[in-house]
Amino acid sequence: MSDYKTIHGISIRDYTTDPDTLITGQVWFDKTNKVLQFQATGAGAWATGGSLNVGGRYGSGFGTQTAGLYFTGLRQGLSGDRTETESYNGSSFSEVGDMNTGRSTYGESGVGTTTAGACIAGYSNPGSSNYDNVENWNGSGWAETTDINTARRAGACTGTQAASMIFGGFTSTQVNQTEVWNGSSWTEVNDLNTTRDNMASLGVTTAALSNGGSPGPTAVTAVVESWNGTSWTETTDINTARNALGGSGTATEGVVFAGRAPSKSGHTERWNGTAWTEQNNMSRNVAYVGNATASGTSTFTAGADSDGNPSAPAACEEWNEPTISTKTADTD
Amino acid sequence: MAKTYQYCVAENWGKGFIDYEESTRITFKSFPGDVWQVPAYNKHGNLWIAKVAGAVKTKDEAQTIVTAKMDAAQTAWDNDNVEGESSDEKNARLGSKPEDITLEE
Repeated sequence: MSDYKTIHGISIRDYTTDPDTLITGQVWFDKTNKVLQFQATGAGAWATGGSLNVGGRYGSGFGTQTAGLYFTGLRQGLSGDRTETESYNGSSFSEVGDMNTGRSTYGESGVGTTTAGACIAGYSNPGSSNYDNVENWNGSGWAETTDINTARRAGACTGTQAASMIFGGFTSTQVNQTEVWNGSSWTEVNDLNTTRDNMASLGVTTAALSNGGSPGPTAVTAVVESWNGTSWTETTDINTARNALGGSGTATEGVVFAGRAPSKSGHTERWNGTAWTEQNNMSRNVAYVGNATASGTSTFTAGADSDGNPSAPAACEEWNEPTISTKTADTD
Repeated sequence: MAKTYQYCVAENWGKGFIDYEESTRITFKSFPGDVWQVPAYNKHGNLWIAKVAGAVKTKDEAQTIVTAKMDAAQTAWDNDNVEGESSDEKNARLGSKPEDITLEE
């Protein structure tokens, strides 16, 4: 039988305490505790967060997992599109000021932070009309601001209240239009190469990614396009084609999660600027996950569309980035 | 055949119900009716079930709970109609009809 030295060319050192400078992949024997230890990068994982006061579906959100907002969509036990807004502080949700126009947003229509955010476009449900409305959140209430040029639902949005963008979506069919907000007006800019709706966004208006989505009524795609502030170019596909997924992070570091392929899942992938890596999945199989955090991967996802009963769940999950840690063979 | 999963019923109380360390060690899957699936014959799975005071169920017992919830969801979907609404509009409003869920051994 081969031993460690035959395979790796070196022996395993033993220590009475952990080595001073640990390197990922390093293996050593802990003489004190008589266990084999190694330094490893674990995958990221989800943990449960506080639950919404009222379950939500087809809603959206923005912010981080310690300061976020959830809004729009259908709410469990209540009819029609809802205006209720809930604020998340990292452990619990509380009700705050209502929106002016209730709508279902089918994903990532929220941008910004809990002191300066926005909800862009959406859908009247029932009513079957698309919205061009934009509302700004100032930390305590919502106010109408300048509409986008092309009313739509299921587009992807990213950025901040002062500099945001919407791309793709659905009018009477999937569209590829991109619009950029500069703080005072919306401007049509270069279109996506792959027309689609229900994709996930990452990044800001100078560097963004459009991930997955639906190019047609029943189709799903794994295509990812990169926005450089001027135009879209194709980059590395996500591993699993799907739509109605969520995303959080920047154009160089982010996660996409959940969605339909066509079954709903909690599938999670992490982007390092070059490649997508599989991560631990969410515990729930859901789609139309609304929250996106453009500034980083500290995201939460509440509510969402579930096949289960209730279909508008209250559960929330928080994403935890991969960590480098010391593991003990056989027990970790 | 040795089973791959074990099931329990436990209500998600929110923060701390599944923590990061637990999530990195085992795969959790939730189903309607507060049914949770974790790996069978797994120390970390057993510890988590004890932590959440989960009521352990056989796969068949868990399936009965899930099926009852899905039947209710499907009936609710069938009965939720708006006068003059097309099937596409209904799908946009409610999502597609909930599908049966079959738990794995």
